[in-house]
Amino acid sequence: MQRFKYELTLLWSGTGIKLALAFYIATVAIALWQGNCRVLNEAEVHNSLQTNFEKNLADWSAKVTDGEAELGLMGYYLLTPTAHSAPTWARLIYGQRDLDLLQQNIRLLALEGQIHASEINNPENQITGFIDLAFIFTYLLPLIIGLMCATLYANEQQTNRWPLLNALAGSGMAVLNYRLGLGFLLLTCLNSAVLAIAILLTNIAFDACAAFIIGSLLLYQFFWFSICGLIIRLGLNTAASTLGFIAAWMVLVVIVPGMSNLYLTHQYATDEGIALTLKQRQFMNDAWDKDKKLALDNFLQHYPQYADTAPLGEAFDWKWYYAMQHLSDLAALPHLEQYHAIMNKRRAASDHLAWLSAPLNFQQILTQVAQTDMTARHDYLLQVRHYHAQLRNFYYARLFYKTTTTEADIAQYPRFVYQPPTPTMPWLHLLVLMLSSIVVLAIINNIGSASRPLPQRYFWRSTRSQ
Amino acid sequence: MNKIWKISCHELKIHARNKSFYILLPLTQVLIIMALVGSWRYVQQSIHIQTLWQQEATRQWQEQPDRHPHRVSHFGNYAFRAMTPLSFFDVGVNQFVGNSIYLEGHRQNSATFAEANLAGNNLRFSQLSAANLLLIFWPLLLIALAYASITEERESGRLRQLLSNNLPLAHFLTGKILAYIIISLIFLVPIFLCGLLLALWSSAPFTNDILWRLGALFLLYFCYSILWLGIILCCSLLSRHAQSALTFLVVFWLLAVIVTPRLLGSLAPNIYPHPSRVEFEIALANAIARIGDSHNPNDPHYAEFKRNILRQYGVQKVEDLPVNYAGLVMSEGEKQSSLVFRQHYHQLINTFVQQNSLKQYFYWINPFLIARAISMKVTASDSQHFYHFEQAAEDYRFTTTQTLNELHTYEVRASKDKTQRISREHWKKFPPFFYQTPSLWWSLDSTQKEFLWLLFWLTLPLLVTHQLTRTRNIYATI
Repeated sequence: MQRFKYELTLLWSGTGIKLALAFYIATVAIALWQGNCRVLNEAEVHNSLQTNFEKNLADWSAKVTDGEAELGLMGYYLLTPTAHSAPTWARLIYGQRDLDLLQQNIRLLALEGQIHASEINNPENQITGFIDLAFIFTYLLPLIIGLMCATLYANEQQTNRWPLLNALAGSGMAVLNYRLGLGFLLLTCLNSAVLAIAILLTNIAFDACAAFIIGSLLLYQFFWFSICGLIIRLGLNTAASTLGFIAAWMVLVVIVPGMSNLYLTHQYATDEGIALTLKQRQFMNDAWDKDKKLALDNFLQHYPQYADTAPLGEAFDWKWYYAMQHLSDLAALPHLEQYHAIMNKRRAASDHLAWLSAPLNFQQILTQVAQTDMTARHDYLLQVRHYHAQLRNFYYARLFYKTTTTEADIAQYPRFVYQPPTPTMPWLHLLVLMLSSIVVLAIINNIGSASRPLPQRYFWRSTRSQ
Repeated sequence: MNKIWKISCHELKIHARNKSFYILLPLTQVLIIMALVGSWRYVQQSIHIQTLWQQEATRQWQEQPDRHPHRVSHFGNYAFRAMTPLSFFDVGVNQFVGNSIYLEGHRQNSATFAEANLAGNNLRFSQLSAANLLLIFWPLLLIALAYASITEERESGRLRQLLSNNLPLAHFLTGKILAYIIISLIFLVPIFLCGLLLALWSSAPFTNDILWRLGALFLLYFCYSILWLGIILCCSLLSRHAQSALTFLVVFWLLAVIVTPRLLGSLAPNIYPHPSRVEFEIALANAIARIGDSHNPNDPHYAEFKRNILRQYGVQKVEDLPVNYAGLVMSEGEKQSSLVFRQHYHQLINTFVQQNSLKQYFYWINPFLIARAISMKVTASDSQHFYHFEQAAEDYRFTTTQTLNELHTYEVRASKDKTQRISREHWKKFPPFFYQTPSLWWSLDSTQKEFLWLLFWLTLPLLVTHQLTRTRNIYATI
């Protein structure tokens, strides 16, 4: 206990560590505030869209039930909001939500012309990204760890305390390990406090997700402490230790993800997205010139339940129009499937390449648990497609059988409800994170052995002329 | 001069003795050249694909059969954005902005299929372009090389001897910085030669503009190196120990290069909020509805418009007009809606410009922001160039739609408005969409602040050392 107190005092004695931790806490506060602002803003926009929609629906309902306007016209003009509501962890781990179109207005027309729209964003802000807790844990936490522990051996060596420490019972290496352990404990307490406060301030439940995130955070910390251990074992001087740690950080955080991204962009480049939009437009436009009765028959093959609808006349008929819209979606379907296939392959490859770099792996774990990654986005878009099908079913029933639309009919108008997917824990990623630490420990073990103790150089000359 | 040269040579010799110097520097150069080549292949592929799609879209437009012009305006056209030729050097915002815009009548669409939407979260920080590596990684390398250059002299006692031998401190410092300038040149020149070769070999035509841009880039990164060398050597001069100089420099580098840009990017929308896509579209629709609804026969704006047209042609009824009234209404509607859109769009762009200008308040303390801004402008890969493209696409859309509306007015008889089709030869007369990257002078148009601060940073070390020389406040003692 005495030793614990003294070691703690030693650790806390420098101004560097105090400034670093103050900075860390300040950025955490900013991150929590930012995340909260963003999520609240999204919810506000969504609510205003909902109120707007209910008002528009009421207006259209009045016009349609009076016979003032046709139901088809309502399908053309009425915009229904769909929103990718923020999952509970989004305030802390915002992921890629700042790239995505989070609220969309859908109408009955062909979906392919609507679903690929993009959000209005300042791209210069997107280059750097959003400050959230995931950024702080992934990028800044290793730097704090490096500041605390990378120069443990070098400091002792430089101040000539190392021979004394090494001569004590229980070798010098044990002292350094104790200090590494102490640093780990300190940061664990700090990060747990941060997460606990974050969870209390938001409405996140303390469930399996939270436990998983804390577990992966501890493993990630352990990884970086083992990198510190590696640097200590190499027995470098202060400058080399610092620069070595920063170099390791740069390689793992900037260079490896960068190279993997370059590879992925090359390997999975696709223009299927453009192909499908062009195809959809071409089909819809050509439809105006083709035989309408034949085209409607084509549609009825996909929807045989409406086969006994009244035959088309010479005048413009809404049911034909929307049938063509759907057929244009179907015409673009091969391209869409190809597009989705390539995106899925890219996502899988990106997942696997993330194993090469512990920070990238950790970020992947966080965004996957928080459901703010590519998978969650893809899931939301599938739900939008499903909803569009529901909308079409609502309208088809009333367009193909020319009944008068009543209030009861409009009351059945489907609304989009976002179903968050069941959380899947990325156990494989966690395992690989653990493996990365084990690999580093193995390297340390390889370097250090009884026959090769830490160097005992005497640093009275300048560090550079060695 | 001789003395300065001797000091530089001594400094270079020290580095030449260090084995890791011969590994680290070439390795970094290879990494940057790999990034260059990788990005170059990607940019070539993108230019090729976008050109093909543009040709396809033009072909689909020109091969339309006889049609009613309003139908053609709904058929629409596409504008495909090819990356600017020098994007292989600095990818800028290219991954985050869309690649294709659908141009149709009545509506302005957004650019879709941005690369980032396919890639997800890997991209931030790790857009491994040559510019990124030079802006982020190269200063770290310089810090590693030069942090102890003056503290080493002081700790070994050489500084005291040199100064006591009547060597002016200014000469000493000039010698030191000259050595590192030579190292920077050895580092930068092969990279830029490689860049030049790639630009020559590219499928885009190698114009004078590209040559100027490459020259400007080289000058920029050279100045950036000198700037960092000034900071590093000043720190080295002012610190007692090498370790404290290193710690200060590394912390400064981290804050300037990693933390501040992200912080500013994240805070900017809080200070200057911009509307989301749906809010923008709703505001636009409301503004257009306020002007008038062309489908509503009792609408006051269009009633006024009808009166003016009738007066202009000197007739009493719409049916007596020599031209198609429906076409005139379409023209008017398009004009009004495009006017409103432009107002809203320019407001949005101004908000974004304000958000970006937040960085300018930090130029005095962060050289990275200055260099990155200028680098993106010179390689024509920043957001202003994207808005230039969007504006060009919108202008093209407006001109095309209004020409079609004119055809509707003058070629289509009002009595046969629903069924008449005009000859397909008309579609061939429309010029295809062609976008020209603006010249270097346009790109650098609003960078006065950046250049001023760059000059400030370049002269700051001079001022500091001048001040030091005068007060003789150098720790020449061990």
